[in-house]
Amino acid sequence: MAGFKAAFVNESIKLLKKKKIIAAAVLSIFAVLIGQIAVTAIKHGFGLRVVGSTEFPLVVLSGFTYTILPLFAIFVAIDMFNGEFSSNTMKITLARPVSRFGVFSAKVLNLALFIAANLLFVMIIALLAGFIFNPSSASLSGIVSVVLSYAATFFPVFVFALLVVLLSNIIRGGLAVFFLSIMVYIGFNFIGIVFSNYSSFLMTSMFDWYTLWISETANVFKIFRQILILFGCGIMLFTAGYYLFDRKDV
Amino acid sequence: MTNKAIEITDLAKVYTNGRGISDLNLVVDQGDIFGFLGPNGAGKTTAMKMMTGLMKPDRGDVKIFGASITEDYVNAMKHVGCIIETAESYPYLTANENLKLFARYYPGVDQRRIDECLQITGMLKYKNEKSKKFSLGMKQRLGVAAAILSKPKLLILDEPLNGLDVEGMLDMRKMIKRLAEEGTTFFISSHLIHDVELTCTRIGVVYGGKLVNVEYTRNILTNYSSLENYFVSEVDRNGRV
Repeated sequence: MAGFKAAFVNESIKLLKKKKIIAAAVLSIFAVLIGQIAVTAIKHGFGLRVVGSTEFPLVVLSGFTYTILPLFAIFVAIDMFNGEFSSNTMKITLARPVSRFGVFSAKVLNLALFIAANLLFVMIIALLAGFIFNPSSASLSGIVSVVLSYAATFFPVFVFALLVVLLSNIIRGGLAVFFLSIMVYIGFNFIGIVFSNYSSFLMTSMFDWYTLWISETANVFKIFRQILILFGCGIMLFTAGYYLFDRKDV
Repeated sequence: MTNKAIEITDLAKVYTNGRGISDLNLVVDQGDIFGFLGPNGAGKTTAMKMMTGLMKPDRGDVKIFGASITEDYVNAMKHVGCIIETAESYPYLTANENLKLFARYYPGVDQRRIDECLQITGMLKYKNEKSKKFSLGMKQRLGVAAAILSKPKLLILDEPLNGLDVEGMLDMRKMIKRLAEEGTTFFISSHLIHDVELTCTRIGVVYGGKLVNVEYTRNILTNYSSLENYFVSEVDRNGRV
C-alpha cells in the first residue's frame, strides 16, 4: 500500500506530540492510585483483605475499561478525523502520494496502538502496585490471567472505537460526535442490561468478556461466538468508516 | 511520455447552491506557467481541489503526467506539490518537524533538502519554532516550502502570494521563474492580476463556473494594454455588468 508506512509513522508522531497522551497517562496512574488507596483503606480500616497482588489489576481493569479507556479512545478518534477536518490539516496529508485507504488505515492502526499502549501501561502500573502492597499473594498463574484479561479487553474497546470513527465520518462537528458517542455508549449499556438476551451483539457488553477467558471452566464455544461477533462488527464498522472517508470532499 | 502536464476532460462539480464548475476542458503543457483567473466564486478553488483529489468530481477526469487522479491517485500525485485554499501546517509541530512529516512520502528528501527549502523560503531562522506562533505570511512561506520539498514537476498553487509582504512577493516571483527555467510546470490561481501578468506564460479565465478563454500572455499583451483590461473585457463579454 503506497505511502502507508509514511502515513502510519506521521500519525504516530502527531499522536505522541499531543497533550492527550500525557493526560491519558496521568489519569491512568490516578485510576490505579485511587484503586490501591481504596483497597488499602478497607484492609486497614475493616481488617478485610479485598484482593491479592494479581487480583488488583483485574479490579482496576473492571473500572478502567468502562471509564477512562473508552473516553480517551473517543477523544483520539475524534481528534484524528473531525479535528483534522475542522483545522484544515487533513488536506495536507491527503494531497500527498498516498491513497485514502492508506491514510484511513494508518489512523485506525494508530488508534488501535493507543488503546493497546494505554492498556499495557495500566496493566504494568497495576501489577507493580499489587506486588508492592500485597507481595505475599503473587503467582505466575495470576500474572498470566492478568495479561490475558488486558489483552482480551483490547478487542471490544477497539471495535467501539471503530464505531466512533464511523460517527466521525458521518457528522462534521467534533463536539456532536463526542456527545453522540457517549449517548451510544450509555444506550448500548442500558440495552445490554434491559435486553440481556441480545447483549452478546453489543460490543460494550463485551468490555468484561475477559472473565470468560480467565474462568476456571472456559466456555470455548461462547468465546468463539463472541470473537466472531466482534470480528464481524469490526469489519463492518471499518468498511463503513472507510467508505465515508473516501467519499469525503475536503 | 506525454508532454501534457495536466489534461482536464469534461470536469464538473456543482454544489447544492448551484455554484461550482462545469464542462472544464483544459490542457496545460509541461513548462507552462498557467494562470487561472476569475472573480470570487467562479470555481477556481473547486477546480483545483478536484485536480488534487481533495474533491470528487460529479463527472470528468484529470490526468497529471498521464496518470488519472480518480483511478491512479498515488502515481498522479507523485510529482505534484500544492497549496490549496490556505497554506496549512500542524500548529503543535515546529517548521522543521512539519516538513519532516511531509518528507516521509518522498524517498529522496532528506534533512539537507528540508534545510534547503527553508532557506529558499526564508524560514531557516524559524526552523525550530512551532507554527502556531507564525504570522500568516510565515505560514504561507512554510506552505511553499512544503510544496517544493519533493522537487515536484508540477506545482499547483492557489493564491500563493496570500499574506506575503512585498519582499515575500518578489522572492516568490523569482522562485517561480527559476523553477520554471528548471522545467517545473505551474498552475497558479491569483487575484493579483499584475503579478499574474508578470509571471504567467498562459492565462485561463474562468467565469460563472465555466472556462471562457485560454490564451498565451504574449498574445494577450499584443491586443490589450494590460492583463487587467483583457480580464475585464472577458468578464464583461461573458455577462458581467
